Amino acid sequence: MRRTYWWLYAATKKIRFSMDRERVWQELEGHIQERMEAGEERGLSRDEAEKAAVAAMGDPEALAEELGRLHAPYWGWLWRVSQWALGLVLVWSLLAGAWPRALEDLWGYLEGVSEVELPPVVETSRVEYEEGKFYETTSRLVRAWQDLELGEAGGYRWSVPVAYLRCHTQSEDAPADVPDYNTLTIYLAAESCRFWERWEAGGTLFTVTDNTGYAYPDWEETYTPRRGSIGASDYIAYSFGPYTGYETCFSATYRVPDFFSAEGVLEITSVPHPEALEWLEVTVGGERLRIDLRGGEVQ
Amino acid sequence: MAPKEKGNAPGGASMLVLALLKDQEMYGYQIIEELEKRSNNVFQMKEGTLYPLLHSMEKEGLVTGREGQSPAGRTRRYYRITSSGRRELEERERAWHVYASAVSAVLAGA
Amino acid sequence: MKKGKILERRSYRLRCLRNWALAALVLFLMWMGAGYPLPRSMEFQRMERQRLLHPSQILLEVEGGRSGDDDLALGVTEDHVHTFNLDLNRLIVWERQEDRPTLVPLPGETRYMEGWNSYLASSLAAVDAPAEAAAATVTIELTYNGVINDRPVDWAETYVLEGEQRGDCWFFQFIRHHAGEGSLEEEAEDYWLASLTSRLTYYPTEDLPSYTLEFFDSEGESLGRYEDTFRLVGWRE
Repeated sequence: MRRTYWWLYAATKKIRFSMDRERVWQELEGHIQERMEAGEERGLSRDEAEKAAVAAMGDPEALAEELGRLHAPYWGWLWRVSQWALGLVLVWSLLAGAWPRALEDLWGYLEGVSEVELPPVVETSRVEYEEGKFYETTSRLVRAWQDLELGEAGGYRWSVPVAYLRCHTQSEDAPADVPDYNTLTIYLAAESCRFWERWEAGGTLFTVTDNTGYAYPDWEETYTPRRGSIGASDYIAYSFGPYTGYETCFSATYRVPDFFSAEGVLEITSVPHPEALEWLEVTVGGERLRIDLRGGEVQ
Repeated sequence: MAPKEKGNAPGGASMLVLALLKDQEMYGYQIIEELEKRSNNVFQMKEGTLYPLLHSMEKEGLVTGREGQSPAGRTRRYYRITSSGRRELEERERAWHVYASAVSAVLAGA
Repeated sequence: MKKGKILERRSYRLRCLRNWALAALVLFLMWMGAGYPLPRSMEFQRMERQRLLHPSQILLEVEGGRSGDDDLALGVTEDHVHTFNLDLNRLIVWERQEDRPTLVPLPGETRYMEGWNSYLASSLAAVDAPAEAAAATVTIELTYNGVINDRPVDWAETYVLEGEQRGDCWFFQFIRHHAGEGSLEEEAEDYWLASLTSRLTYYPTEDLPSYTLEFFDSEGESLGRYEDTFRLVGWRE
């Protein structure tokens, strides 16, 4: 079968990628063999049939040229390299211990975050302010809002998924420095397709004003540290002054509700005149976002 | 879209091969035989022409190939027409009919 | 040529694409798991964008004492100085004085060597120093009034920090006075210095000590003496 072998070699020598070459070799070999069989059936000897079959296949050089051009090696090398690439990358990821973190993150994104629940309409809690002495605080949900769109600022699209206003009234036996007050809680969400740089709620500085022109002071301005010692240990305590210090406090309850957004919570203790509250304006990065707080009465 | 043919005349080897594969799948040797048979030996395609043609049509997605075996255990690659191959065939057949009737008309004198 | 396994051309192309796609996916998951790291300079700018701050020009990068990487930095904008701690993802904003140099603490610990020992140190940096300055000092008084290990402590020390010029900034470190003594003073100093940076950057302005910053030319003549306090604009956590 040497003639066949040499013909096949010549015809496929320009196919650079071995797997393709193998395949074409097989195909052409099968063809030659079938021609040989046909020849033998017509009465030719094995050798003669082979000679005729190979001759019928034509010039191997010309064919080699065409097949070589056709079965370009790009795919071949691409495939070989791809196996190595995948292998290396997998090993690297294992060595770098990337999987626990990545799977955790992925699970977090897939699982999502629970919906924010509104607090109950009325809730009473008991507070012990001295040994054996209690008072009660009744918290009433007065207004609530959902899904407010705020527009764009600093490259993020802002919205308020949930916001609510609660009024807290103290029972009569409450101490004098605990007045009735209210809290306005606003969940602020920033969305962007740039998932690698989500809003850093815990690190953003901002100012808050309302429709009456009141500028809410930052908690830092009302945050008074007290240093002292009790017995053998020293401590530093922080107090938010009296509740009539209307603090704005942006808590670091930083959530990633989905892959493209981040949420923080804005807590305002004591809006001066809640019944006159129409909107709040939050300034971030020099841009203003207006939160429309009309309506929203809770039954 | 179609493999480059020598000259711009409609018809050509690829059209013929696609037509053969329209109704059934065939392997290389079978295509050459069938072509000879149907054309009454007018078209005798050489392997050196057929295989580059088949391989390039496969690359372009006009046909797909699969490995098969002859009864005697020889390797055969069976080629089957694809939907884009059918579309290509339709187009070329239409162009051919236009051409053929034009030629006939000219020859018949009008 | 051996008659080996014959691969379908179609299928190995698909597998090839699949391999590349999987490799890309694994790389992406690694990047995601690592917190989407970027080249260092881009990290600082990203931190600023995430906090909706103006991008600053980074003037100083310092090795953090704990991890040993360059993870503390200082950048300036027109009105502000930004200090960064990359490891802890902290960015603190300070006022940049118009008419005088500004001194800010760096939001993390650095290290210095004394003989064979290395110590963690708090450090400060000054921007907008006079161009001819060849030396700088910061004089600052620290006090601590409280209890350490059951013992009442009333401690006050004045530190004079020698400045080191680094690019457009002057860098100052708190070198300990009482290292290795085993005394109460050492404990007090240790306690104070170990938490100094936290105090300077995390606690309200009232608590921040005042300082005297002075620059000298190459002859030792004073180029300017500035008494001031640290002017924090804000941080959040």
